[in-house]
Amino acid sequence: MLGNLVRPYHPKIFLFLALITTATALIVIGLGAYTRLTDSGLGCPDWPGCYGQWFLDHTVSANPTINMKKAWTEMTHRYMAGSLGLLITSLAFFTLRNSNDENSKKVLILPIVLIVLMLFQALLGKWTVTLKLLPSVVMAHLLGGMTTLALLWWLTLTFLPKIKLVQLKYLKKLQRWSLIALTTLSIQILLGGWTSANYAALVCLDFPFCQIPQDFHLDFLETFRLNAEVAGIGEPLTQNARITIQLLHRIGALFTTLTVGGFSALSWIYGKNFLIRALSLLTMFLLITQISLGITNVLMLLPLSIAVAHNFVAALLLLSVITLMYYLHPSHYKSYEHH
Amino acid sequence: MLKTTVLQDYFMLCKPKVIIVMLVTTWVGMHLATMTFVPWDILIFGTIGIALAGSGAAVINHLVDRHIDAKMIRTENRPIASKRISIFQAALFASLLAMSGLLILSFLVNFLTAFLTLLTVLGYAVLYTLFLKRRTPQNIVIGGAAGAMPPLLGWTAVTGEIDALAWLPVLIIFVWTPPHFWALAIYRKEDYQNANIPMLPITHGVPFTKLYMILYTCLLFAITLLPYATQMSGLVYLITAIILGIAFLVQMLALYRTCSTYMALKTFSFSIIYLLLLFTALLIDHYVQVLG
Repeated sequence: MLGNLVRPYHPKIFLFLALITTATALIVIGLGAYTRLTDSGLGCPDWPGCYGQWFLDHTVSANPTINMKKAWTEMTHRYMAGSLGLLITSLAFFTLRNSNDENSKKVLILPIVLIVLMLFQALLGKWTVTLKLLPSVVMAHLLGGMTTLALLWWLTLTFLPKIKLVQLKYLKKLQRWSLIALTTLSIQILLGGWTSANYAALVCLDFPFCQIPQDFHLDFLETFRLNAEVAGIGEPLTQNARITIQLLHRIGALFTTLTVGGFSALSWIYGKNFLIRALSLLTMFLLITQISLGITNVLMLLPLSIAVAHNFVAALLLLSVITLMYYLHPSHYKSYEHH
Repeated sequence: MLKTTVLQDYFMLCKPKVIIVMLVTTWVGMHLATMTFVPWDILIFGTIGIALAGSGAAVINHLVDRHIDAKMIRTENRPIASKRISIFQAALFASLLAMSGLLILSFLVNFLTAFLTLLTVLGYAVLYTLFLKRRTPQNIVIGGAAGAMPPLLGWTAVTGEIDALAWLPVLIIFVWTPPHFWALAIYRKEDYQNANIPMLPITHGVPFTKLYMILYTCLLFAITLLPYATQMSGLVYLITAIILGIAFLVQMLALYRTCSTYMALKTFSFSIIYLLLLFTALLIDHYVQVLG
C-alpha cells in the first residue's frame, strides 16, 4: 500500500522541508521560553484542550476569572508545537520512505529518534501542565526541545550539498575540541534549565559575585534533588540549593566561555577556509551575546525580552557549535595524496 | 505459511534472546525495590513497556548493521540484510515499538521510568551507534551504560524514584559488559575487522584484550560483593556471588592461556549464564529475607 505512495524526490525538497521544520522548532523553543517567563505555563489548567476547548471562544473569555492573555500564550505554544509534530512526522516519513542502501546511518536513525522524541515532548508538555510545573518535568521538556532542535539541524545539514575542503593541519585536534565544547555547552544548558525550573535566576542580585547570606553553605545533594517541587505546592529546593545552582550556572558560564571560545578561536586560526572561519566567527559572536544576556538578566532583574533571548541564543549557539562540528568531520575534506 | 514467516522475521528483528536476559535483570530490579510483592499492574505493564522500548533499540541495531550482516555467512539471512523486510518497514517498526513502549510506561507505570527508558534508548541509538561504536575501542565500555540500565528501570517502575541502592545491579552489569562483549569480539574478530569497527582485539591485540578481561572480571568480583556489603542482600547471595565469581575468573584464565577462538565463544556463553544465575541469586536472597 505504502509502496506506491511516494516516489523519489529531488533532494532540494528534503532540504526545504528540513529547513522549515528546524525553523519551526526554533520558534517553538522561543515560544516555550516566552510561555514560561510570562508565567503562562498554567494558563490552561487542562491538556490538550484549554478549559475543555480546542479554540478559545467567547464562552471562555466571558469568564472574568480566566486570564485570556496567559491562556492564549499557552495555546499558541501548543498549536505551534502541534504543527512542529506534523512537520517532523512528514519529514521522518519522507526521509525513511526514500532511504536506500547507500544512505548513511544517521539518515536512518535520526528520523526514528526524532519521532520518538517528539512523542515524548508532547507527553512532557502535558505533564508540565498536569504536574503543575514540577521542576524536573520543566527541565526535561527544555532538554527534549533542545535535543529535538539539535538532531533536526544535524539531519538538515546532511541534506545540504556535499563539499570537499582542502585538508587542515590540525583537523583531529579541532574535532576533539569541538566535542569538549559541545559537552560543556550541553551541561551549561542543563544547568540553565535547572536554574529556571527552580526559580533561581534572581537568588543573588550581584555580578560577578553573589551576595551570599551569612548562613550559606554549598549544598550539592539538595541542589540536584530531582523530586524538588514548586513553592506553594510541595517541597521546593532550599534557598541554599538555589544559590548553589545559580553559582554553578555562573561557573559553568566561565567554563563554557573557555571551551567554546577556545574552540572557535582555534577554528578561526587553523581553519584555513571561508566556511570554517565564518562559522567560528558566528560562534564567537553568539557566545559573547549569550554572556552579555546572562549578565543583563541578573543586573536588570530578568526583563522578559532579555530572558527569552537568553534561551533563544542558547539554542542558536548550540546549532552554531554543531554546524562547526559537522564541517570539521574528515568526510568534508580531500584526503591527503600518498604518492 | 507465508504469514508466519513474515511474523517470524519481525520477531527476529527484536532480538528476543537479548530482550529476555534484559527482562530478567529488570524483574530483579523490580523485586529488589520493595519489601512486599511487586504490584501486578507494574509488573505487567512495566515489563511490556520496557520490552517494547528495548525491542525498538534492537531493530535500530539491525538497521544500522545491515551492511555488516549481509557480508557474513552467520548473519546474512537476517531479515533486513536479506531484504525480506525493507528499510522503511523496519524503521517504521522501530518507531512504533519505541513509541508504544514509552506510552505504556508513561500512562500505566510512571513518568520517571518512561524518561529513563527514553534516555537509555537515545543513549544506545545515538551515542553508541552513531558516535562510539566506530570511533573508539572503549565503545562497549561506555556504551555498556545503556545496556546496564534495565534493573534501574525496573526499580523506578516500582518506587517512582531513584534510590542509591538501585544503582548496584546497574553497576554489576556495567562492569560485566566489557568482558562479556570482548569474548564475542575475539570470536568474531575477522568480522569486525572487515566491517572496520575498532574493537579492542583489533586495535590492541587479542592477548591485551584477554588481560583486560581478567582485570574487569576481578573488578566485577569485588563489585558483586557490594550488595552484601551494603546489607541489601544476605548470605545466600554472597555465597553464590563468590562461587560464580571464582568460576568466571577460572574461565577467564583458561581463555587467557589458550589460542582457540572456540574458547572465546564458550566464555561468551558462560558470561550470560553467569549473569542470569547471579541475578537469580539476588532475587532468591531477597525473598529469603522478605519471607524469613
